[in-house]
Amino acid sequence: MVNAFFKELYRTFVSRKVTIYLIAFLSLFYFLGLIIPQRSLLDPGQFAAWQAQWPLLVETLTAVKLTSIYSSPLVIGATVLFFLNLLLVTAKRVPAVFRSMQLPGSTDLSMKNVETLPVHEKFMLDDAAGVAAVRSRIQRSGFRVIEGRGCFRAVRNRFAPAGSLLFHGSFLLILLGGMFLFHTRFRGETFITEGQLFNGSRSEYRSVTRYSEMRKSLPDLRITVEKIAPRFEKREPVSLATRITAQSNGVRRTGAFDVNAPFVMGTTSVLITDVGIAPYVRVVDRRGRELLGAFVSLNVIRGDEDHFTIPDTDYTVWVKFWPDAAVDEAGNRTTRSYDLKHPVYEIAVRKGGSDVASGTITDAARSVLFEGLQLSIPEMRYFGRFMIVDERGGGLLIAGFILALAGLTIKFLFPKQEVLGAWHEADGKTAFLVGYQGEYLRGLGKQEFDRILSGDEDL
Amino acid sequence: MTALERLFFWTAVLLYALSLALYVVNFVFKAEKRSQTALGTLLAGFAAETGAIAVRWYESGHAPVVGNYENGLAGSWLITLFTLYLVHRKKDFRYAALGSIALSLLILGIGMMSSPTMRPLNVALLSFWLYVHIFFAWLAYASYTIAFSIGILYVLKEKKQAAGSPPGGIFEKLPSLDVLDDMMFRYVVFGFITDAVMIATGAIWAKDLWGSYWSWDPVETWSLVSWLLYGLVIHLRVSLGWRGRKLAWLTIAAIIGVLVSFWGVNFIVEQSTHIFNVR
Repeated sequence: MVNAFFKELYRTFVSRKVTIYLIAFLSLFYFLGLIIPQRSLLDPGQFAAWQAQWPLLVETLTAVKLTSIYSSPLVIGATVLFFLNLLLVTAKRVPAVFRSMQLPGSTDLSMKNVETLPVHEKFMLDDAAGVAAVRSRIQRSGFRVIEGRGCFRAVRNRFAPAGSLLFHGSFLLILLGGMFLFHTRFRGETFITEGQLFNGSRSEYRSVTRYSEMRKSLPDLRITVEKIAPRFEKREPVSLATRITAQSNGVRRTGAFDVNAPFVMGTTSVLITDVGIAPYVRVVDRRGRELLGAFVSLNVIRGDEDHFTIPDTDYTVWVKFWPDAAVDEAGNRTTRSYDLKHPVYEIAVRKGGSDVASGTITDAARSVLFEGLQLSIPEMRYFGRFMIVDERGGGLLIAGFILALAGLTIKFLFPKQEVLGAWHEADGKTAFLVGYQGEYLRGLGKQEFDRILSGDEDL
Repeated sequence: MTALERLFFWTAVLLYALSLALYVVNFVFKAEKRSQTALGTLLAGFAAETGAIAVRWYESGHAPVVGNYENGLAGSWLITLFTLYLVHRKKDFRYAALGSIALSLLILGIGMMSSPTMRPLNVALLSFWLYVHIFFAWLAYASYTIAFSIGILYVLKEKKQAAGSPPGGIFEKLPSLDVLDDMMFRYVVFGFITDAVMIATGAIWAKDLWGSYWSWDPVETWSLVSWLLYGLVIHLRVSLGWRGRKLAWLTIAAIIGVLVSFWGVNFIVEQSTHIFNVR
């Protein structure tokens, strides 16, 4: 009874209908993920703003996991079922596929067998030499001919059915790769200034994402940024060439990299995703005591305003920056380019929401004075926004991609085709019947057949 | 956009529109004699668009891959190339040009309205994988467009046949329904394979650029949905034996996935890593 139930369950589960339902279900949820803002895709501020605007809606959607749809139990469950279905359907087809690829040593066909093919033609030949000529033309077209008594069977691309196994098998590799990547993946973001050493401790990362509880450790990585040399054309970044020395798992290496060409050490990749200006800000009081003396990373290179606070004080310093300052026709300050040719800082010091002082700094000798303090910028460097990624499983994923493409190519671009021929002597002539069948082809089968028989493969 | 490029561009648009009009007139009024004129006009439009691409490439110093305008230019060029190839190889497929020229014009129009300004190649786009990714994307989309056009022809011819149209009509000159069906399937299959290469190379590029093979970015997700839709079309044909009208309607409907992944996503969502700003 129980056995029969499981057999029925298995039969239902490996049916194509279930595959189609699962694809439809996953497509629906992917679509929902497109129209419902996803927590993983928005930055926290944007998500909070949306939450504040529609509190009840967001609460409801979050409760049913629709704001993190791709990691919701429903979608993960459906994905697992999809791959399980795929595995079982593929496994079920293996014996039939292998059978269809095998070629017998000889063949036995009658005229009636050939007549059942969707495309066939009868010839009345003077002798059997005509049959041999057609057979050799078929062979020249890449068919392998199996002889029989008064008949032949020719097969081209007999391994095409294996393409289906390769394609569906590749999904399992991709799934395995995806799972490895998900559970081993670490992603951290940090700002590092030229000359600065990054030791890889948790506090040095601005943000850290671990996708799975299984990933516990931080990557063993130390970085010293030697040089960042961004290049802009018409205010468009065309290179963020960076040179670093990195040490990972006892190996030390110096190298250059750029956007689209990460610095890779084992399973760890270092990517540069943006650059900014890190002025060395020095604030001293009347007695020369230093309140601040550090490189401050500011997102101001493209004209945005950024700020920082002076430690142990209530002062906030707002900064505007022009890398290659000029004055436009209206008398407003502007920048000619993003190259650091003529850097100018506009400083506004605020305390409790009120302006305390403002000024312009164009070189190391200039400073802004306010309430007994002096702010100067004796030096400036670039800082980079770096992404550090550590994961395993990429190889499986790529192997899966390659296998999938090989499978699709074998199955569809080189489909299995068969030509069957049978003949007998009648009234001093040879009655020769030849037929063709190709996977997926019905209307084009006749054209293919004519092409093979004429030996004109390039037609 | 230089004056020469503008001249080539608008000449191409004009000739494509004229060619489309001629094909429509031929089709509706059964004026077969003018089909060579329509094809010649399409060829001339294609030559003009090639000129626009060449000027753009020379002036910008990079292949046309930046922004909707350049992508539209490259995309419609490839769709027209596929159409010309098909019509050259199989003359009875000439009315497939009806759907593909209309889509080419739509792509060019949207591109022109969005961003024809020439921009340097952002560092995010400086990758070998970009060219492979985009090339295969357009191969896929061009194939799907041709399949879509053949699907329309199939539905029209089948409807006419069912209505018992008199012999000698324009539909008689179209290939048989079986041949249309096979060709539609072939283009879907070719599109599906090249689409797979597009997704795979995109994932490899994304790993270098964003540190992750897959980010469930809306464009990525919708490309996957679109690919799965065509996968479904193939599965239904291969496994369940769907052919004919059902498959034709499915192929026509599946183009929506492509249109949404290319333009629709940006209308629906504001955040996509596919905006390609290094910030």
